[in-house]
Order: sequence, then C-alpha cells, then structure tokens
Amino acid sequence: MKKIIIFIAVFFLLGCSNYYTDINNLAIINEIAIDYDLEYKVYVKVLKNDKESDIFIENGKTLDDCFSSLNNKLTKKLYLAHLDLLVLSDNLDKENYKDIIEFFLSLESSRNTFDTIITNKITEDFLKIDSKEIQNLLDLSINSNGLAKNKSFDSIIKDILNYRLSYIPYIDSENKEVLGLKSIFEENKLLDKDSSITVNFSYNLIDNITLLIDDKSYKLESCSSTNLIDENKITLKVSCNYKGSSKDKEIIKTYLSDAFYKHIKENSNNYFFYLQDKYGKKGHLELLYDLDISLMKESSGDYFI
Amino acid sequence: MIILYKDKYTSFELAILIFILLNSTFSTVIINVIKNHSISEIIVSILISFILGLIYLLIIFKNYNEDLIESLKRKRITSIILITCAFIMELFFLVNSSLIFKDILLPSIDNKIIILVFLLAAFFLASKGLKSLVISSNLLFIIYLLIILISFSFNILNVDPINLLPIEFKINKLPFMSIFLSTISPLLFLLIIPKNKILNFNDYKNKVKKTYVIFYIYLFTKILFIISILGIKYLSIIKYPEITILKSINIFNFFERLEELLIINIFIENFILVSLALLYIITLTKNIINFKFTNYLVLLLIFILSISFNNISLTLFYISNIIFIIVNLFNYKRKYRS
Repeated sequence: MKKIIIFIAVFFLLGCSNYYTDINNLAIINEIAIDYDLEYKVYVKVLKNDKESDIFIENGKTLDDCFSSLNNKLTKKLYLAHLDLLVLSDNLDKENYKDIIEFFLSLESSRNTFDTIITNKITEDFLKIDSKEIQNLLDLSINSNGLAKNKSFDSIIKDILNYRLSYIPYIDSENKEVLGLKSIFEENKLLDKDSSITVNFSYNLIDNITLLIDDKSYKLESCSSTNLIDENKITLKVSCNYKGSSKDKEIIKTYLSDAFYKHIKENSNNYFFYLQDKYGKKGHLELLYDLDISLMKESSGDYFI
Repeated sequence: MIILYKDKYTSFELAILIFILLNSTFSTVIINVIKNHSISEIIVSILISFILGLIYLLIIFKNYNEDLIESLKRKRITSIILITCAFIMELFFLVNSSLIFKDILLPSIDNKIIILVFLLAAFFLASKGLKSLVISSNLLFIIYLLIILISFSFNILNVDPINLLPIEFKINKLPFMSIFLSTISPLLFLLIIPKNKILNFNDYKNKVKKTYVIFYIYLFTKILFIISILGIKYLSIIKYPEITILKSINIFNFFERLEELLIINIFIENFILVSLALLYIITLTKNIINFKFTNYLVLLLIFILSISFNNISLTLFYISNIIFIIVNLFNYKRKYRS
C-alpha cells in the first residue's frame, strides 16, 4: 500500500514536466527602461546569449499592458530574476513612481535588488550599453567626485515609504556622464554637484573624494560621516584625512559647509526630519555641519635607500 | 497499519522536534501577525506570550497524563472535540504551506496537486510512526540549523539599527495571543507520547523548558533582525519578509540568490508539523472508529476539505486553537482531581 502511495505521489510530480521551461524558452530580461508621455513606453533588453541582446519597445496605458503585449510578441516566457538595471526617464512624476513600485512589488519573480538610474533621454543606443558599464561608472563616480553611487530599487522603495523622497543617480544619456543625484517622489529636482555630494555625505556613502575648487583639486581620504541628534539640533559630522596644508584645509571646510547650508536651504530636508522622528525628537531642529579634517603628512620621497 | 511508537524516546531528540514545531507557524502566522505593529508592541507581545506559554507548559507537565490515548478511550466527547480542533489546524497548516510553495516555487502548478503531494508525503511519514517522525526531524535539523546560520551570518552587514527606531511606548493592540496560540498548540500534539515511553521524564521536562526559552530568544532575535534590515513600513507591504531579506545578500558576487535556501527550512517546519498533526488525528480517530481503513478515511477527508476551502480563516484557526488548549488543560485537571 505504501508503494502505491509513493507511486501516486511520483505520478503527480510528472505533471511538473509540462511546466518546466527550457532556458531557450525564457526571455531573460537584463535591462528595463520606462518612459511616460501620456502613456507608458517600455524598453526591454532581452539577452540572446553572452554577448548579444535584443531591445523591444512596447507602449501601453499601464505597465501591465506593456508587459503583456511584450509577452504576446515574444514566444518566450518573461524572466525578470536576472534584471540588472532599471532606467527611468526624467519626466516621470509621483503617480508614475507609484505605478512602477506597485508593478515590481506585485511580481514574485522580481528580486528588486537591481540598480536604478534616471536619464534625460532614453534611446536604444543608451540601452545597448552593458549594465555592468553603468555600475562601473557609478562606482568610479562615488570614489572620485562623490556624485552618485549605485542605488538598488529596494532602497528606493524604503526611502519613499519612510520619508517620501529618494535620491537616484542621474546619468546624461548622450555623454554617458554622471551628473549627480535626482530627488524624486515628493520633489522632482536634479541636484547640483554640491548638493549631491552633501547628500552622499549624509548617507555615509563617500569613502574617498576629489573636490574641484577654483580649478584646484583636493583629495580627501577615509571619509566617514554620522548624524548626531541632540535635544534641539541635528549635526552632520564628517571626518576625513587630507594630505596638504592648513590653508587648503580651511578652503575645503568653507566649501563643504557652504554646500551643506545651501543644500538645506534649497531642498527638502525629509531625510533629516525622518532621522528626527526616528530618534523621537519633536519640533523644529536646527541642522548643523561639522567637518573634521585630519592633516596627514605628505610622503617624504623614496622609501628605498 | 499505523504504528504509534516502536521504541522509547530520548529527551534530546524530542527537544529538537519541539524546536522545529515551535518555529513551524512563523511563516504562516507569526510574521503576518507582527506586521503593522510597532517594535514596542512586538517586544511586549513576545514577552507576554512567553510567560503565558511557560505557565501553561508547567501546568501540563505537572499533570502529564500517563497514557492519553488510553484515557481518551473512555472520553468520546473530549476525543471528538480534540479531533475537530486538530482537523481545523491541520487544514490551516496544509493550505497555507501549500500556498507558500505555490507562490515561491511552483507558481504554474495547481494548488490541489501541491496539497495532494504534500499530504501524501506527510501521510507516508505519519504511517511510519512517531519514532520515525522524531528521527526524521532530528536528521533534517542539521540542514535546518545550517540554513539558519547562513541566513544570519551572510545578512549581518545589511542590518541598519535605525530601522528599529523609534522605540516609543504606544500599546494599542498586542498580538500576544496569536503568538502564544500558534507556538503552543503544535506542542500539544506530542502529548500522545505515554510517560513511560520517555526515557527520563524529568530530564525531558527540563529540556522542554530550555528549548522553549531558546526558541523565544531565537524568535525575538529573528524578528528584530528582519525589522532592522527591512524597516517596519517595508515589512508591512511585503508578502514573505524572511525570504526578501535573503535577496539582498551578495558577498563577493559569489554568495547570492540564497533566498531559495530558506524555502528548505519552511518546508521542513511545515512538513514535520503536518505529519505530526495527521498522526495525532489518525491516532485519536482510531479510538472512536477503529476499522481497517480509518487512516485512509482521515486522509481522504483532509484532502477533500483542503481542496474545497481556498483559505481557512485565521479566526477559525484561533478559535480551534483556544478550544484545543483549554480542553487539553481541562483534561489534565480532571485527571489530577480524580
């Protein structure tokens, strides 16, 4: 009798063979780009093999319409677990972002750990760039000019849920240049370079940075930042090492603190208010900046005697 | 056909089974219950349910029935109540665990097929007897523990303590009853083990208490871990938070896509639970209706009911839990008085 039971159980497992999908029947989506102009325009990059890929463009009133018409066009099953990059257009608004978040959260196959960027103009040429190149571009940016770091879709959802604002890396599609961060959802604004650097410092994303002040470059190393919450103030405390003179140190301090105060004057300070709520503080808190630069001695020359 | 027990049970092997049983309702009940509650509410609920559960276990073990099956032969009404409650709980566990496997592993397969195969496998294990079930749980525990260690250690860098703030003391509604009911009721299925079949009963009592304490420390740590990675707001909108936290693991671009590993743990927990509940129902049913095909009748009934109801309501599950817990307690009290 037990053998019959096992046989029945195994027999039903054969039903899974109909649902087994050969890898050749999967449309492995590597990149998605979303644009909106009265209706959604979705660009989807599907991998053919290691090196080649095809780009498909679909239009629709909703994202579900776009993807279902793509599903009908391709004879393959859409597979989103290998999605590496989501490119968003500059002209998306709050409602579009809500739709995009709901769409990806409703997909069980989507892992939501892919990188997200915003660009001014989505073109097929831009999508032909490998997602790894974009990631390398952002890695280079955060380690050199401190403008933008890779941002996963997961962290964007958390930012929007927690303080209704998120900063996404902005890349110029023609020059393939990282221009900084764009704040989305409650605000819809491309931050200037100084503001982008300030935001990255407040999130403690900057390790090394080269600042360009009056055509002279200053390299700061081993940077770390913390947000200190007191009774009536929040202080962004940044500490880093610098090889140079005291005079340069003062120039850097003035530059970065001016950038900070300009940023809090001209932009939403939702992140700081979020921190304020988290630490249980009420009322209006003063936002302050404290930069501590440790001067390192320049190397004396040859180590080999 | 059903063999209740072949040999005696050591307290260590039962303790391992108890740990798995205590964890078995996390993915179906506890994680859904703690959503939309603040950290302070969750902490207080865990404390209260721990205390309630400990008191309940102390009472149950003080008046442990020498042989529950024998004593229930004279109490048909009590047997019927216990069987009905166990039936509802079994349906709840079976339907919900099959929904999890359908969502994550087999989205294209009909739920009925998943329920059938899962139920047949659980029936096969139950038919081997409680001893086999205990040994299976002990063997699977090695993989179970390894996956827990991987989940914690690889995710430690994603913890952000700021997600635990603010710790405000605002208590509106505490989900302690849900946590208490869903952790205690699976343990009561083990009351079918006669006292004389447990080697060193006093050692077993102590091990149960220790396992219970260890479980609650683990539960507390696990919930705080999940919240510190996801945050309360993100936790409340995701379907399977404990699996989502594993999606963000990416170490040296080598250790990634580890979320599939946790499905193994969810499978082990639910498989052991469903098998044990089935064994409990069949054993008690044989007290009332004892003929050759009792166990197959029970199997058929569970299958038909599980495919008829897409969802067993949480309220019905809690009511059956409460009745189950009270009847077991009342059952022991009567024994103590007589």
